[in-house]
Amino acid sequence: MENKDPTEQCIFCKIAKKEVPSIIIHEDDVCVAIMDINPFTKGHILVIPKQHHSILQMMSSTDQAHIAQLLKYLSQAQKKACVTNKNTIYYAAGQVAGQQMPHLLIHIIAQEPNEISQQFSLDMKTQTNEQLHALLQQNLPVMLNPKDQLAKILEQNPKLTEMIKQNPQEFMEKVKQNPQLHELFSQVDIMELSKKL
Amino acid sequence: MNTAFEDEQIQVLVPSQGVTPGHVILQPKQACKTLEDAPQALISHMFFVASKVGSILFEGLQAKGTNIIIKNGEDDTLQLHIIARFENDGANFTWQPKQGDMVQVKKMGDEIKGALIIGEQKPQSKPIEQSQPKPKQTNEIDTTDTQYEFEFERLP
Repeated sequence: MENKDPTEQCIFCKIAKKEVPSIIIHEDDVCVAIMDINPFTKGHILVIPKQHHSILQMMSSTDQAHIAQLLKYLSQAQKKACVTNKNTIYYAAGQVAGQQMPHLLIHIIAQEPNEISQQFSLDMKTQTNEQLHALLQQNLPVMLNPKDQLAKILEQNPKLTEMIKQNPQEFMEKVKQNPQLHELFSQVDIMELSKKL
Repeated sequence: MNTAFEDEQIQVLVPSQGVTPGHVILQPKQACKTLEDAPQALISHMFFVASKVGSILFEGLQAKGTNIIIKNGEDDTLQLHIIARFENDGANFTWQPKQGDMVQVKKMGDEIKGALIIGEQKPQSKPIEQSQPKPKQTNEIDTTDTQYEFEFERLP
């Protein structure tokens, strides 16, 4: 029988559920931090979210924030234990980037105090894509601010704006039925918005 | 190095040359050299922005993958690199896993666990802890530093 639940076969889900033994150094509701048994350097830590997500973007922003903050304390502890002032935080999404398992991992890899890391040396010699600057400039403000995102959508969809303006009650019904609209307008008082338009 | 976005906390920079054609650098505005110097809220904001930058690299540049790298302590300023990855782009951060010495790995695990203090130190907690010292145990790893444990604050 074909197994359709990816978590059942996932080694990191098994580690997080303690079905596979590991050396756990921290555990909470969101993640476990374990020692890599094949360390790149001494003290190599792996941070594993308990939920099966392949990339960062699939995690909730609350869980992302939680793990980001945890990195600070794990890094601090690793530096103390390894008697160093340097380490590298490393994350790979996608096979071409070096991701080997479809369960996201963050590595904390210690370096010797005077060592310049060869492994993670950033050889910046490739011409940057000329669209990159504009892509970030246009999209980041909108993606980081949901209100701006809504304003942009209204601007681009005059029919939608007109409907909210003319018939907010009917629009509220539509929002209930459409998951995309529901997510977008979940924090919005539509009656109030209708008056403002 | 061009600034593509900034807010009160961070700058998003695009270098003229990168490891690949899609290399973005996130840098805090306040002076911090390492993650350990940075406040919790700043770190989570950096990762939040990094994940959005990652989405832009996937969708806008048709990247097939991304790497996030923080060389924590190597540079004068904390920088988070987000690198778009493509087939045969010449970059390679992977390594060949080598079987670790389990005794050594376990020992390091114990040491890191012993050094792990989660949460920002709250000033008012210090006197309370000092006035009620825990009974000293013979198997305690660290007896030189007084360690305080605090609850890990989750964002709302």
